[in-house]
Amino acid sequence: MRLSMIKHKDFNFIKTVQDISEYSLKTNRLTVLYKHIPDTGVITSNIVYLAGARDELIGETGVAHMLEHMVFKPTKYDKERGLKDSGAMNFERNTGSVLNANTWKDRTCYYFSYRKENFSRVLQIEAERMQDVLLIDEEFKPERTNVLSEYDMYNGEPEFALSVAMVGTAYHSHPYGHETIGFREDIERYTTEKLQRFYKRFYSPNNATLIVVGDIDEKSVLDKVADLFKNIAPDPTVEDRPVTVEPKQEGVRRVEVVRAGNTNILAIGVKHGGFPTKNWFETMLTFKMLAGGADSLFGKHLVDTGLASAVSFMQEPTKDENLGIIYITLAGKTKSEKIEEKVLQLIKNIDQKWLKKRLKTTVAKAISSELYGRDSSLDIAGEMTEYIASGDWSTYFKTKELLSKITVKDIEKNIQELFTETKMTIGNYKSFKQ
Amino acid sequence: MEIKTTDYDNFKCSVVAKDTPVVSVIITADLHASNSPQNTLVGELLTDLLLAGAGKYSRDDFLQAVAALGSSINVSFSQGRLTISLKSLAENLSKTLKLLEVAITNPTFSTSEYKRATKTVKNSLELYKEEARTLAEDALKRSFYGETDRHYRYEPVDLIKALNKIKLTDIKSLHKSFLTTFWFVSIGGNKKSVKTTLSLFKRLKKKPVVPKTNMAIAVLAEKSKKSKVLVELVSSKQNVEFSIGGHLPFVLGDKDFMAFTFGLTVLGKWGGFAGRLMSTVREKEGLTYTIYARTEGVSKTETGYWRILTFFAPKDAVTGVKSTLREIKKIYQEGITEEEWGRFKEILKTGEALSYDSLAGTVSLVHSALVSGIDYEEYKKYQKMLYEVSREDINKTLKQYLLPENVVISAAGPIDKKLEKELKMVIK
Repeated sequence: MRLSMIKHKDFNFIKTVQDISEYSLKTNRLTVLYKHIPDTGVITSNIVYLAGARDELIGETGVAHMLEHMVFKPTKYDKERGLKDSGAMNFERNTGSVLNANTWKDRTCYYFSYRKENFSRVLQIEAERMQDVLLIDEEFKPERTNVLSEYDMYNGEPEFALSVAMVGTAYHSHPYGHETIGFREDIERYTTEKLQRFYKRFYSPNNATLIVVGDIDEKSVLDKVADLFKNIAPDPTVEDRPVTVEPKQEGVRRVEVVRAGNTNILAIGVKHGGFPTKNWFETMLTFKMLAGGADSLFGKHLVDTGLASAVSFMQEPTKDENLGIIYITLAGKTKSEKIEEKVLQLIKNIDQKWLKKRLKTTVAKAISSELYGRDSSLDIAGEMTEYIASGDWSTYFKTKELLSKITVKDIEKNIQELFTETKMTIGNYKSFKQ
Repeated sequence: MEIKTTDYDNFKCSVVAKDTPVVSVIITADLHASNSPQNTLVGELLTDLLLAGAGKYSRDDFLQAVAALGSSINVSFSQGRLTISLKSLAENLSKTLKLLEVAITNPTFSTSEYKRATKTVKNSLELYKEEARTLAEDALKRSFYGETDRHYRYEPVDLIKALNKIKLTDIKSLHKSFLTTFWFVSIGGNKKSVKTTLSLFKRLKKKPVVPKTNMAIAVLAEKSKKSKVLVELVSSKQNVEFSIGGHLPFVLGDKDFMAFTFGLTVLGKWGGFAGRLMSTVREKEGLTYTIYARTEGVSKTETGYWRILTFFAPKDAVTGVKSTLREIKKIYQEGITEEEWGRFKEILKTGEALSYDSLAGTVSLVHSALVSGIDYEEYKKYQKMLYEVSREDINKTLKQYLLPENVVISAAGPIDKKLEKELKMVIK
């Protein structure tokens, strides 16, 4: 347990939980999290903005993700330096460091993993691109075709196409009703003005958390962050994120996607609690027991019997209630209706004895997976992202305790609540021969 | 972190010693005899049946016993090599190793599990028919290697046809080979975990191994040196997947291999944005989301090939391929610049440094070197050679081996007749 904290003139110390400390920059409320991993020679830094697909307007879906691509383009400072590429790309192309970014429903994050001597350079890049990227057509137009290429890559996957249709059917008002990458038709109609509006609205220090994990001392981190970020002005309006309450669902919702090919999928979606609530983890355990591999209930009754080729599930760690989906890829001429009936019957027939046995092993596996997933500075900084987006990063340390406390009764209750008419959306991906 | 490779009587082991609560173990045995649909399928079925019941455990009991420890044991079979990967918390390692031991030494191989496994393998092969990226890659390999070579991957339809020819005795026989073959082992974890794991392998590999008679030597397809375009229709996809490449005549450790690898990294560094292809085809021209290049299939005894992996929208496919070929020709003719030579040395060094930040990444790196025929010390020597290779040598090998006139273009996706014709025209 690490109990020390640094007193720094530019920061308010907020808290230390286990080996991670939180500070807030006095001038603009930029949050800084720090974790020390000595003797590796490597640092990962990751800046998380609370700006994601949920913050987009109708007709501008995917703009948060498009902007993420543009944040790798030159800033006004890069132009002044006469750089051809942006500072970020230039840095990667000169050092071979890992750099990337990703956008999700509630947040966008940008990360670098690099040799420790490059720390100052990386922070300078993050500070400069927080507000001064040049969003101009010359950079934007070729990048948009890359995003369209990325969209087509995802859209070529049957599960993705089905999930787009299913979340759109499940949510009528809440912005989780569209996938992060947005609709192709919206991407084709973006303008630099739309991007600029989103950038100005959400990219400010008081809407960001900077995580630094690795082989560097705490004082050096705080000194450098203060030096580079303290003069960036906060945005007083950014913290007012609107709350949307999804209207009540009154019956099972259904949707179909029909395409050429051979794949047929039945997908069962259920609305579950947000991350990292107890209900989110109960649902995770439920999904793992139902469709998480060879020893799962559906693995045994559908894959082993040859009725299905594969079973899997998708559950996003989003702040609000969201749709988790179980995918069943049908084998041969298996009829979707028959499998749907069988699946719901299997769920209905789950007894306490089976649950008791499975829950114990599923919890053990989930806890160890958490540890395996904290293997490198990049893994740790990546995993922290979702906890930051949920509003309380310190729950990162409570996962084990939370999982250990989930009982058979909790799961029984959760199953009864999830697979009901007011929570379910059923999707069918149907193929026809061309 | 300490890394060391040691030769034992019947296995070779790389150890990554690090103070960590998790343990990562990888075992590989080279079981390649000759490549055939049957042998491919026997390997696939063995991966399933090794975890489908052993000793007193039924399949369900076994999988639950592993899960109850929070551990995982996975088996895969690729190019004639069987690989077992184990992950465990250090505190549960002894119990996990006991389960591994029983799975390896005393699998049940019941008829009912064999029938189940056959059914699931058939269903997964049906899914493979729509995996455009894999289909494009496999077709590329088929153009370089003869059917008996381990790199040659049969089409799903050939594998499905051969499935009913497989008998349970074939699987038992391959399992026997696994037990009696030399193993390559990598262990990552704290010192106590390493010691515990090593003692299991010393016990398991007490008996002398059967020497391998068939040295792995690449068997090339007769027409591997001809430029061509291979096309497969996968109508459900939105993009056309491409594997573009050519055969390479050298093995790991050849000076030419190091120089060529350096040059190919400049063309299309795998991951990130630094390669020329990412700078031009993606960044400047906006034609694709990713485009990377690397050498594959090269080991200490086998030659391999270079491959560019990318995809384009059908409307951009011809332009995309032309841009890719333009960049190949440019680097072939002009070589890399002095500036690129200096910069990519740094890039390669950073890549190596970053790979040691994760235990699983380090174990995977040392294990893949081991399976390619080099121990960790030798790997370090090769890395040094890579950093020291001269620009002249790099450009010489690019001129010698990155031959635009021999490039094979393999495409899979929504390709209509018009696009197929246009793609074939590109190389004319």
